[in-house]
Amino acid sequence: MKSADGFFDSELIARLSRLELVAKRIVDGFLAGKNKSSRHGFSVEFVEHREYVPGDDLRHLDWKVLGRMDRYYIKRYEEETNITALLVLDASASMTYSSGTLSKFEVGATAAAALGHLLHRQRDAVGLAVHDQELREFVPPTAKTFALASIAARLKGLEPGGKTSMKEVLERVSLELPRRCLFVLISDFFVSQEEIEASLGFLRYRGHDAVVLQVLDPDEREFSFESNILFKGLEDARQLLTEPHRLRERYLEVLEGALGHLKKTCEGCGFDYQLITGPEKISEALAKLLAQRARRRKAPARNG
Amino acid sequence: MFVNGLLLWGLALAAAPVIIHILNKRRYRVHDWAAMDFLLAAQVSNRRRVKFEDLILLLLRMAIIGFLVMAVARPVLRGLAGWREDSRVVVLDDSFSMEAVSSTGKVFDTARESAISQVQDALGGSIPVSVWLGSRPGREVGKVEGQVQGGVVDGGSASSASAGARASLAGRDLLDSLRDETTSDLSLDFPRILRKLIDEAKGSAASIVRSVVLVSDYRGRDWFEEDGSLRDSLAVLFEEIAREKKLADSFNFQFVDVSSGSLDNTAITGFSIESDPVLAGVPVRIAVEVTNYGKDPRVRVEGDIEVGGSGGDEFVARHKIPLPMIENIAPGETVRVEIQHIFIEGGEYPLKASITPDRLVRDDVSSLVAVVRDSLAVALVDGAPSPNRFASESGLLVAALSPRGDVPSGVSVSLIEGEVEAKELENADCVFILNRSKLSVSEREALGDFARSGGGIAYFLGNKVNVDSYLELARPSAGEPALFPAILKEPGSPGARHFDFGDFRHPTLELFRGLKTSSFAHVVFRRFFLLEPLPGARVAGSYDDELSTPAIIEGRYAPSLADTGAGGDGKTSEKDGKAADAQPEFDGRGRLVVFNTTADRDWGDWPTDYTYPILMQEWVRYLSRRHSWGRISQVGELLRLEKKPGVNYRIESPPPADESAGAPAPVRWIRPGHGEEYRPELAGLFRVAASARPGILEAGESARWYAVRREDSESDLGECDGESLHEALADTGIQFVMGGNVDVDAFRRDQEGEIWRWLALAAGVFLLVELFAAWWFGRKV
Repeated sequence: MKSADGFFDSELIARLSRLELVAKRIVDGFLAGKNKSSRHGFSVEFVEHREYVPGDDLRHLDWKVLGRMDRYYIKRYEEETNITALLVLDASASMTYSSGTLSKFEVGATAAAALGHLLHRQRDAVGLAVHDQELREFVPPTAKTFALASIAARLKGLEPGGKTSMKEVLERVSLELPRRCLFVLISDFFVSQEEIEASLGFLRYRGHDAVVLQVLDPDEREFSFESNILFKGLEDARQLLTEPHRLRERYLEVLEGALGHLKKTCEGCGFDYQLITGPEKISEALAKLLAQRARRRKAPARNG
Repeated sequence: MFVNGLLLWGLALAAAPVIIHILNKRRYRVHDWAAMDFLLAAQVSNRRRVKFEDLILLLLRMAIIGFLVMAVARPVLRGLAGWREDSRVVVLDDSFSMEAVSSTGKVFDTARESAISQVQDALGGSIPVSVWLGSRPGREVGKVEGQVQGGVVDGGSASSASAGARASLAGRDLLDSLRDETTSDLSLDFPRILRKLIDEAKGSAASIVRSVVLVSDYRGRDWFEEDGSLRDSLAVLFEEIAREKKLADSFNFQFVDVSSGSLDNTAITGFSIESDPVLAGVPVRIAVEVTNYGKDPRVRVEGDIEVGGSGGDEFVARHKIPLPMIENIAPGETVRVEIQHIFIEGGEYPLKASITPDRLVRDDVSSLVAVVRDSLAVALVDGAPSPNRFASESGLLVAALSPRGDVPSGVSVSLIEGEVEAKELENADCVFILNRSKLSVSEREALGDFARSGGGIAYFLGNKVNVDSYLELARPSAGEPALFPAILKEPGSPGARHFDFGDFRHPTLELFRGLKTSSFAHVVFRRFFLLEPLPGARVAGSYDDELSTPAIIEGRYAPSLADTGAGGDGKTSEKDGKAADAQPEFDGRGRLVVFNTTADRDWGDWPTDYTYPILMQEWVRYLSRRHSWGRISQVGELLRLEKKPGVNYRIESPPPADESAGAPAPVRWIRPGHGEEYRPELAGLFRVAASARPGILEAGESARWYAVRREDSESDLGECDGESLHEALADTGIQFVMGGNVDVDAFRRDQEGEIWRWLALAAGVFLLVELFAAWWFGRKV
């Protein structure tokens, strides 16, 4: 169920709340959050219980609760730090494409809001940057209570348009942020491979962590058109008259190549990547993303 | 060439796939799209493949339509699968054997239907076609050249001026003519047809491939010799064709076998009268020979001989004489039966012999003409006439030939006094030249004409004979044969000599044959000439001197009586009667004979001996012209009509056997004096009347009967099978196809140039390919 501001799906957030968004790297934070700090805190204390999920370390299982209630709970007691996260949402014209009820922009905004809410609940600082070829909206990261309302207010009524330009936007907002930050990039990434490599390389160079959420419409993923169609570009005046079924095979090859390149670039930079194909896939994609990050958390930190 | 050429406009439909493709390109919907980079990148690398696939599909669809339209238009190719055909010659075997009746009808009817199918097939394929008759190569039933509109031969109008319409009319006429054709009594003459085809092919500058379709019953006799080898006349021609590449490339042979399958047949193969001329009141034997050509014995064959009346315009049987029943005729055997008959008075008598009919009816009947003479007319030319009839040569000869008394000898004698003129010889059967010193030029001409017309000339020598003059007679001059068959030399040495007739084999000596002692032993000859027969002449009797001097020499007024000159040694001449038997039979036409003695008692006692009249009368019969000879001929041979100036002949053929009763007999006028000739194609009795005015038969003109016979071997229906023919022709290198009965469809399928079936098949195959290609190109949709 969506919230009144249109993007905060409570049901989605409830499902996601059982997972933890953890930075793979050790980042510094102002608040005692749930991210493992590189610096040991003032104490090691119990924080809360949460239900056991497959993959959790059995050393943290609360045996007393298990004995009393016959249920599996994990004890959270480690010292945790806050992180600063910036949700970077693409609002270019290509994000307006929709084959169903929601456009890619709306799907991306929903995913951004869900992640923002989750981070906020963890008392992490959350900010928002909306861009096309320029930075259109910017909410500096904050852990204050109004952070989510501020983000929702900026997203509401936003009309996507213009071309996509990512690197300049990231360079600009990085100037506004602390040294290390978690960038959540939400876009269809319909830009050149060079720009993708430059953008992600920039973040990696500046020591930021990043989560890449690529949003595609089912049409773009499947390309199941039949009759003759004149395709008109959303971001420019290019157009193509073709028989889609004759082109489908090659189109999918090109698309897979582009997706593979993006994924590979993310892996090269140590960033997480997840593909969201349509509104129905948001929760599934975010769940996978968080599980992926949880697994990485257990792995030895590269810097630690 | 197309049967339905107008439908070729339908080829415009082949543009339909292109038009549809273009129209489809104009029908699209607009769709906003974000991933244009990917789409354009895919399009760049896919454009060539898509265009290529589009091109293939378009070509396939155009080809399907093209093939279908072409199939409906029915193109006709000449030379499909190696069988090129520029023209077709249909040879319909109309020989006598085709008259045989099988369980399905007359073989010729089947053959004619087959030939009609072949012609219609050719017309349908716009192939020039001509129809020839197998037994009459000189006569072409008809031909159609050029194109036939749509293969329609039953339509068209006379006012149509186009070549196609004219060809259509010609096709219709050809088929009508073909339907009217009947059999002849001739034999299949395929060698002449082949010769004609070869000459045509050699004379043609263009390279034309002719299909020669022979529709026949394929009798063994038409193709093979007795020893089973291919007939020489055919083998030579087939080898000529195979030897010359141009000829070999010019012919395709197709043999349509319409044989009945049954080989049984019995036929009259002989019908003859024993003596010629036949004398009124004298009994003659008439013989009929019946041959069984089948594989099973023929039993209880009955028959009869019908004797027509002398005179009259048509054959009316006056007497019907039954033949002795033939109990059994073994396969391949010939049985002869005879009857005896007396013609009461002179005249012409047509005769018909017939036996129990079988599957080939026409050879169960045969015909004959008997010319009966009341008496034989002899003209005497006496070189030393004397009023004393028992002292003159002519007097003794008259007494010998026509003795006084109640019993006539059958010989009437007339005496020619002075110059011998043609008029005096007109009614004579033979003429005797007695001790004539020499013959003038006009006499020689008259005697030459007389001998050429069949009359016989006998010479008796004597004291008055001028040797040089007779040497002149023995020498051919100005293209005329010798009138005297021997070289006359000096007189022989006197002495008592006798006849030496050897074993009496000469026909005139038949009455004396077999006697214990020679009837001529007591006849003494005191003088004679030394003689030598001309080459081609023979010695009928000799004297018993040391030199065996010829006593009787006979020859024939013919070019075969060679000129050796006065000094010829005569080595090639025959010295006795035995060797003479080996020569071709003398048929009595223009016989010449020299009796090396006198007709009176000057040189011997013979004219007063009893053997003299007997032998002289026999010689008269032997020398006399054969009146029935010339009235019997074979089909295809010239009818022997006298070439008298200004004389026209009205020839009335025998009425067709299978026509309705009362149908008029076909009539034809011939003028031999103008080089016209007549070769009967049917056997039977022909009635020939002479007239001075062409086309008009004057009242009172007498008519003559002619009997025309067919070749006996035509009755032998033994077939040659295709395997034997293949083996025989394999040596010549000739290739051919042979089909049974009227299965012309099989030939048509093999030879016709129509390819619509192939086009339809191609359209079907292309449709399947198109469906597969369309599925393959779009299989990942």
